[in-house]
Amino acid sequence: MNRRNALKKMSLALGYTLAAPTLFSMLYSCTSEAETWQPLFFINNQKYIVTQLADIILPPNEIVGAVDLNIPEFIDKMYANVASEEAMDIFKKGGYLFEKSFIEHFNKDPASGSKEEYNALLDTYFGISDESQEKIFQLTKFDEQEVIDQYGLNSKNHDDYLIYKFLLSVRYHSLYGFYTSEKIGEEVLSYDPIPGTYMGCIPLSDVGNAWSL
Amino acid sequence: MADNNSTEEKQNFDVIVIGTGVTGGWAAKELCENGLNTLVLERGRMVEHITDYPTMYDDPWDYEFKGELKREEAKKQLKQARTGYTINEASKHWFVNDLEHPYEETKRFDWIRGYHVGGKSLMWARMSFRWSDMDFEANLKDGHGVDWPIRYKDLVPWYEKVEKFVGISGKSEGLSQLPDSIFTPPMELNCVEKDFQDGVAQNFDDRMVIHGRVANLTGDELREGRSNCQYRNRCIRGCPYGAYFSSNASTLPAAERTGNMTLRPNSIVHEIIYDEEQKLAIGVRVIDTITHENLEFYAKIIFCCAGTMPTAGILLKSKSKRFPNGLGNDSGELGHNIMDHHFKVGATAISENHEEEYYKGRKPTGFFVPRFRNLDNKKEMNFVRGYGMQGGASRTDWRRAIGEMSYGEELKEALLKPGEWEIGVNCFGECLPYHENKVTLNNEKLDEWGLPTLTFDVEFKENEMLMREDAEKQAVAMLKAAGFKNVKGYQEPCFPGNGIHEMGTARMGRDPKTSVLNENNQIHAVPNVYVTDGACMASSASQNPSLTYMTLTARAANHAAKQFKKNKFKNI
Repeated sequence: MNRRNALKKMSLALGYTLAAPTLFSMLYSCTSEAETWQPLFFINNQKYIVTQLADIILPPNEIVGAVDLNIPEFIDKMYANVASEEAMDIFKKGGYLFEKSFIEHFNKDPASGSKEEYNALLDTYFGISDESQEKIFQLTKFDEQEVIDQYGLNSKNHDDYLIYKFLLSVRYHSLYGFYTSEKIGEEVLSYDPIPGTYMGCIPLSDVGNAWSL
Repeated sequence: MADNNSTEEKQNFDVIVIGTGVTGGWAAKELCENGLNTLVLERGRMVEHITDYPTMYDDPWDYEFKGELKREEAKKQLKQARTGYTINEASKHWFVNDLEHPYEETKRFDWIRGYHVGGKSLMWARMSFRWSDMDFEANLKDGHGVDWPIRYKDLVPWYEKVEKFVGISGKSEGLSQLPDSIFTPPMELNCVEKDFQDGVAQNFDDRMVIHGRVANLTGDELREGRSNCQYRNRCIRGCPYGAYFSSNASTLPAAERTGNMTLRPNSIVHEIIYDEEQKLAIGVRVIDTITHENLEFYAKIIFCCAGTMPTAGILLKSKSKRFPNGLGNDSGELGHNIMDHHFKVGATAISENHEEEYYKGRKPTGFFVPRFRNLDNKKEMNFVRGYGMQGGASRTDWRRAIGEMSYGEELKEALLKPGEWEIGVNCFGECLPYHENKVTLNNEKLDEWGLPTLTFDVEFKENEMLMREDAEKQAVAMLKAAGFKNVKGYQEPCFPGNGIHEMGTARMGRDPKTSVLNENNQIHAVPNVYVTDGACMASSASQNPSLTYMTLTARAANHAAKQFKKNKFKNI
C-alpha cells in the first residue's frame, strides 16, 4: 500500500510529524459483491437473513450502510474463523429458531421476506420494554447448559436465549464491522493515525465525529 | 574446557550478559561503555529496531478479523492471553507459543513473556517510579522477608543516571513516599482527569492525584536515535520513533557504538560453569537454537539478566559439588519469595460534565495516585504496606451500545459521536515476600531442548486480600467525592504473574544464610556472578519495578567494571 510506505519513510527521518493523509485512494477490506459472495459458515437462508438484519440495524443514508460495507460477509468470516465452537453452535441454533419464527409470523419462505417484514419481526424482539430487555441481558450472561439446567431443554426461556444470542450477535458484529471498517474509520469518524501532540481538553466542535482509533 | 565451539567463533570475553531485556540491555551498555569486552547472549531471535516491528502502523481494518486470532492460532497462546490484551494480531508475535514453552502450575500462575532481543522492554507498559526509603526499610520494620542491604540513598545517583538516558515524562511533586525522577515534561491530564485531581485535592488531605510517570519521550532534549512520542499509543508493537524506552531503541545501540559488544541471539544459556578450585564462575553453557550445537563461552564476570524466572532456572540448574542445590543457593532461598503486584481492583464512574469537550491524541499514560496507606511503615490499617492507583478518563465509542437493543438510522448517527466521559481507577498493591511462594525445576517434564521446565507454586495471601478490600473502598470514595456518577467498585480475580512484575527468586540481603545476593547484586559466595533482574528483589513495593531494575543494573555493572579493572576476579 503506497500510504504505508510513505509513512514508513517519513518516520525514519526522525521527529517528523504527519497530518492525516486524505489524498490516497480508498480500498475496502472486503471486495466481494454483496450478492455473490460464498458463505463459509452461514447455511441455507442465513446469508439472506443476516443481510436483511444488518441492513435494518445500520441502514444506508447519506453515509453507506452495513450491507454496502460487506458486513454480512464479515460476520460470516468471523464465525467461520474466530468464534469459539460453542458460539458457532449457539448462532446456528438461534438462527434456525429465528427463521422458524419468521415462517410462523408470515407463513412464507424466509428467502423471499421483505425488509419491512424482517423489520417488523426484529421489532418484536428488540422493541421490548427496558425491564424486559434487562431480563434478557441477564439471561444471555449464562452458558447454554446453565439455561437448560434451570429452565429445561427447548423451554421458552431456552428458545429465547438462543434467538436473542443470535440477534444480539448479529447486532454486535454489525456495529463492530461497521465502526472498525476502513471506510468509516478513515472517512467518516475522525481519523488521526499520528496525532503528533496531545491536547487534553479541546472543544468537541474542533474535532467533529468521534475518533476512530 | 570443552571444545565444542566452531574454531572461528570467539569464546573468551571479559564479561557475559545473559538476556537483552530491560536489565540485559543496561548491563550491556554500562559494561561496554566501561571498556569491557562483552558477550550478550539472548535465547530468542534478533529484533532490529524499526525494521523488525511488522505491525507498527496497522489500523484495525488492516486485519481480516480486526486483530482477533483465528481459533486454531489462539489455542497456541492461551496462557499468554490471560492478560486480556497481549494476544492480538498487533502484538502476539512478541509472546511465546505456550505449546512450545510449557510450564506447570501447582497454583495458577500467569507467566507472561516473550523470547527475542529486547525481551519485555519491547512490550512493557513503561510506568516508571522511584522507590523511597519507606520501601527499602519495610522488611526491617515489619519483619516480613529480610532487610534490604541497601537504602534509597545508595541508588539516587544511579536513578539520576538512568533517568537522564531513558527520559521519564512526569511532574515533580516532592513526595517522600514517591521521590521525583529527573523528568521531561508531563503529559497533561484531560478535562475529566483534572476534575478528579481537583476533587481529590478538595476532599482529602492525605492523598493526591498526580500526572503519570512514563518512559516515553517529551520535551526538547536530544537522545541518540530517539525522537518524541507521537501519541499513537501503539507502544507494544515497537515504536518507529524510538519514543519509548526499549533495549532495541536505546541501550543496545549505545552498547553497539562502543565496539565492545558481541550480541549473540538464538543462544539459550542453561547453566553457569563453576570452577571449584577458583571458587568462581568461569563461563556459561549454551544451546544454539539454529545449529542445535552445545557451546561454551567463558568470561571473568557473568551478569544474570534473563528475567526473574529464567535466571532462577539457570541458577537452580547450575549444580556442582560446592552448590548441590543450585549456584549460590547456600541459603535455600533460590527460587523462593516470589512476589508480583496484585491489581484488577478499583472503581469506575462516569462524568456528566464536559459534553462539549474532547481530546486530541492518545497519550500512553494517565494519572497516578501515590500510596497513602501506612506511610513510613506505620501500621495504620489491618494490613501492612500499601498500593498505588493508576487510571485515566476517556469518552466512550461505539462499544457503549453493545448492551442495548437499539437499531436503525438514529443509532448509526449517534455512534458516530463520542459518548459520555468514563473514568477508571485500577489499584496496584504490594505483595509480601513469602518463602513458600516458589518456583522449582521440573526434571520430569523437559522442553524441546532437553532442559527442565518450571513449576510454579505461588499465591496471594491474607495481607494482599485485606489490602484489596481497602483499595476498592478508597477508589469508590475518591470518585464519589470528586463528583462522578454511577460509581461502581470492582474486584476481579487476580492471579500471580498477571501483573508481569514477577520478582524475588534470588533476593538481596545482608546475611548469606537468608539471601542469595549481597549489596552489590553479587552472589554472596560467587562474587563474579551478578544478578540484577527482578530475581534480586527482597520486597516488591507497590511501584512498577522496571526503573529500579535498570538502576540496580547500572550500579552493579559499574561495580563489576571497577572490580574487573582492579583484577579482583583472578586467574581465568
